[in-house]
Amino acid sequence: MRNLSVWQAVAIASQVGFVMAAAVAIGLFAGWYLDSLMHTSPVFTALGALAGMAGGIFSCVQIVRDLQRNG
Amino acid sequence: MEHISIQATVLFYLGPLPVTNSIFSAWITTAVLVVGSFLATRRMKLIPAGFQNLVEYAIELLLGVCETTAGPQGRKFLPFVGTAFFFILFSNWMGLLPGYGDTPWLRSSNSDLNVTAAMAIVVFFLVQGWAIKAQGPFRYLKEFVVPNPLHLLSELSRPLSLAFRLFGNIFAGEVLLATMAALLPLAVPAVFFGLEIFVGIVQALIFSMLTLVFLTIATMQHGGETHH
Repeated sequence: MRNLSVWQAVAIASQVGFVMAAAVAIGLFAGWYLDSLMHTSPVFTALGALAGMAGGIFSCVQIVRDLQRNG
Repeated sequence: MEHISIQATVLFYLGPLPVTNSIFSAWITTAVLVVGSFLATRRMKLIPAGFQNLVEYAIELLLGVCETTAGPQGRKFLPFVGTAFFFILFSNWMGLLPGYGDTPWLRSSNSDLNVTAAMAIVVFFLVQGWAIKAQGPFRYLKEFVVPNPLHLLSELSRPLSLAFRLFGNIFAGEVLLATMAALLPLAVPAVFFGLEIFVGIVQALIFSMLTLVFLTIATMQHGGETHH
């Protein structure tokens, strides 16, 4: 990894919490929308929340991994 | 206690478009930055002094951060990252001036989710544009399927987190200052003003640094080297 400044490290660290919440929110909303279309509640809402959690973790890992690869 | 609302006040309409106090304040910030840039570059000298020196120092710091993160291509990102940094910084700091929040015309721009969301959406499309340019449309689209279908969710969560972090921090600061001013009007709010000056610069740094990181990742070849 290139030498990250302290503030870049702070930015990435703060991204972890926010992106987890944001990804779960997107997954939940998409799942809820699909459920309301197909009357399958709560199947897609639950799946969306799970996918959101996985997506949030993936996003955090991706940032650090790509920066490491870049350096 | 001053009135604080999440929703910005509509001041007037430009055709069908409502102009809120947060947009009006953003225009004032833009005007301050434009005038400041004009004054700093009006009589440029090879050996800078005074205001030109201060601005050059700030720009060089940002350029150093851009090049450390993104390599030689970091210079390409400087205009956008630098503009985002200075706009957010001055919006946050000007929001602490007397009149902001007290008069219906002025409100800290970043305490309105519409402003922060607009900036996050601009960053989102800019990052996607750079990614398409760097990787080519086929490879770019392939990324959304292989290696991980969660890539789409990951991409979409970025602007959401950018917008809500900035809005949340600045709006919470406004609420904190108003509450403290109402509870303990003597001396104590000054401490929190100091805190908000710090939060203002930290949030500007976080937004611009994350934008830089996203742009760097977007323009990276996944074989390991960056495009130069």
